[in-house]
Amino acid sequence: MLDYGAMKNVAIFLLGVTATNCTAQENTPLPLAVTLAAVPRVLVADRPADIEIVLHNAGDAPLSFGTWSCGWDTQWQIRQDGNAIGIAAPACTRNVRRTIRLAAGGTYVRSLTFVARPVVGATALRVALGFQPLDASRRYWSAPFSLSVSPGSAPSSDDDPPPSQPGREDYQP
Amino acid sequence: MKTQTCLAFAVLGLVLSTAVEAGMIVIYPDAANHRHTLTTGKVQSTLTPDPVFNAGEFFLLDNVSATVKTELAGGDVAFPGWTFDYASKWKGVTGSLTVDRYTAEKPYPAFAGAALDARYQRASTDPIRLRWIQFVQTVPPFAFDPDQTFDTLTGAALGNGALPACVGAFIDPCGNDGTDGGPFYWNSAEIANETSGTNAFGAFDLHFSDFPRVTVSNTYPKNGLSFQLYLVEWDGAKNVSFLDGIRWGFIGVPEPSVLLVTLLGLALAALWCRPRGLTTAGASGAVLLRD
Repeated sequence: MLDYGAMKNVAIFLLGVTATNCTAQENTPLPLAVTLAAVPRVLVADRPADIEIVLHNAGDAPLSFGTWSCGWDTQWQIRQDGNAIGIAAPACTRNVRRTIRLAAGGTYVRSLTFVARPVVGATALRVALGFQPLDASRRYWSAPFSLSVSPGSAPSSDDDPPPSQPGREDYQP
Repeated sequence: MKTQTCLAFAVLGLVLSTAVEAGMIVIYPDAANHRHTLTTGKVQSTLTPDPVFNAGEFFLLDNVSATVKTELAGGDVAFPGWTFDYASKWKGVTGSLTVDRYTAEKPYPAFAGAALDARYQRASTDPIRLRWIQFVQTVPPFAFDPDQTFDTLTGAALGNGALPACVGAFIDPCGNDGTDGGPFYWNSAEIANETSGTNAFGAFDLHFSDFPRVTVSNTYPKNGLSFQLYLVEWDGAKNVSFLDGIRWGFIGVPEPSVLLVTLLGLALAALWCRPRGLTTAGASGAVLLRD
């Protein structure tokens, strides 16, 4: 028969194990790969352009993550020198959480709008895009890619050919 | 006589207390889940109304506003064949609305916003099939265009898509999402996850959450959204009865120091652009011609 002290120690141990497991679970990265399907080579200042983004479940089990229905742009960051390009976003009246469920190998495709800020002369940039699911502590980055910012008119739909796509799965709201 | 007067007051008190008790009970958020104002970067966002911060402001609505009736009868979004009963069941619920989170937000340097999370828990006598209808008013009135984009750093207006704007006031969302044709906030694909469930705050019979935002910039120096959120009963066909409601929202303004710099800039510009050959005569304000 356990006395009170022993029971207390067992309880503390169990609490510790639970807390450790929860922390480990939260810090376990999702097998989420960020790739870009269509990227303009040139962004023209003050002219918004869409970049089609593919979130790919690169693991062998289903996964889910949270996004905003209207303001999913807030979940993104741009890694760049300076702030030559930024995110363009709409106002929202109805902005709710959605859970995206991806089967192994499944993808979620959605576009994000960018804007280049006025520059003097053409500017070449090396950027990467990072996505943070709702309630996650980790951000998932794309591979760095190149584009340039033009101060004047230039072809804005000179897209890269999209890379080969794994099977797509539409999100389940 | 004195006894009769006392009895009359007692009856009046009972009637008044009954009237006050009718309708749902609203439970306000705790300090950890409430933020009246948020100022960072160039914009200040403030909850309006905010009964937690300002004792004189109230969430609860006394009735269904005329503008809501107008919108439902054929405003920016059409609801053909639907009927709305605004009176017969109004304040006919006695459950509780727990506002779990009500915070001023600022998702970007040039955007102001707010977040509201709430759970409705039915009383045993409340209707079973409950839904939300949310009405939006832009403050001050401006056209809300759902696919107009803005630079999140500067607030500059950018590209605009094909979706039409909603003008001044509308039933949320602007551009009905079309899955059920109804006026409800949660569409038919979403409602299952928002009824009879549990979230991080507790159990609910009907959940509500929203995280709206608007730009604040030189073009729109003061911008906000005012909401009327109604709890309604739906009969499963095309008939809706209004039960109770709250109002909530936010207003965004340039952060005070930005406003000061802007005003200073305007004053300097006015001074710089004054007609040549003129000079002011000190405190008197009289204008004298040179030479």
